[in-house]
Amino acid sequence: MDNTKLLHALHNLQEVFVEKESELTALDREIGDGDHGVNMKRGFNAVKDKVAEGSTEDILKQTGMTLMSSIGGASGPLYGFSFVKMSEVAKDEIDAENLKQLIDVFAQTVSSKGKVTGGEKTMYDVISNAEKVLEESGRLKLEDLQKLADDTEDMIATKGRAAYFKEKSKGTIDPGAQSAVYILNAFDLEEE
Amino acid sequence: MTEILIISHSEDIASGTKALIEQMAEGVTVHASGGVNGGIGTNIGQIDHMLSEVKSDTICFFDIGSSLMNLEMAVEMYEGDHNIHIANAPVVEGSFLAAVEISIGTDIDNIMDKLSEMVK
Repeated sequence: MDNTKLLHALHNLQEVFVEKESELTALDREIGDGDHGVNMKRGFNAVKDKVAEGSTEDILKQTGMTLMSSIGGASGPLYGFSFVKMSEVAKDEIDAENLKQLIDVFAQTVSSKGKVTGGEKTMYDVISNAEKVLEESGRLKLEDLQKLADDTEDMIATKGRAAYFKEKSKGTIDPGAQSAVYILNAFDLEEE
Repeated sequence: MTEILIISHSEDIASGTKALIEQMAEGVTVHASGGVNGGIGTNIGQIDHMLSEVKSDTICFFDIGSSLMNLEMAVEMYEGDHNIHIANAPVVEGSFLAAVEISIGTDIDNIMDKLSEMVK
């Protein structure tokens, strides 16, 4: 994946989050404050408007800075800061090996800044396990990533606003885990 | 002289704490910001902006939820020349103690120790 393909994939997330807004809103209404759908849409609208051509590193950094400044709550800064950190290890041409490094940095950043480990019903459950998906299939396919988000359905939230819902958080997929599916899928290296 | 930075979810808490400190410890520089778009919240941009204005080593205070996360990210991305410390102490009591200590010339490491004592 070169810089042009990456920019295209990130711009395309704008359409994805417009389409998925009501899905994310519905999940977040169950176990949060219901603003995750509109936040993600706002964030990637801004990415489409503001992030322009540049090197792979530039594009990731610009995306990160844009997300940090345009999405409220915890998820925007976490995604945004992760993109900034990923830009520091990205190569001009993202190959399978480099992608593994990027996902690793993504997971580490979310873990250290969000103070999460696994199994707490958060976006981290998808991001940290995406590495395994990548190792097994060489891809970041939507259906494989979706299984990781589905795994959060039965978890009980102990982090973020969902933690206030305790046992009641069971039975709903974590909205952050769901949005992480779409973001990671944008990095899927298609078969040539 | 050491400066103080306050990030709160509420504009009123930020400006109120700043006013309190400035009255009790005159001459201490306090950067304070709170709320987002007239509502409740914090974002990295407002912390970046405050950090760009500090002229000395600075102790930062935060309130609830994601303010710490945003503060940590802003400090990690800070490229200025000063040392930026994050204090775990409660925002009002902690920043007040820090301001009084700054005004009597206590060095920053000592102040950070005293702030850690507060939350033991």
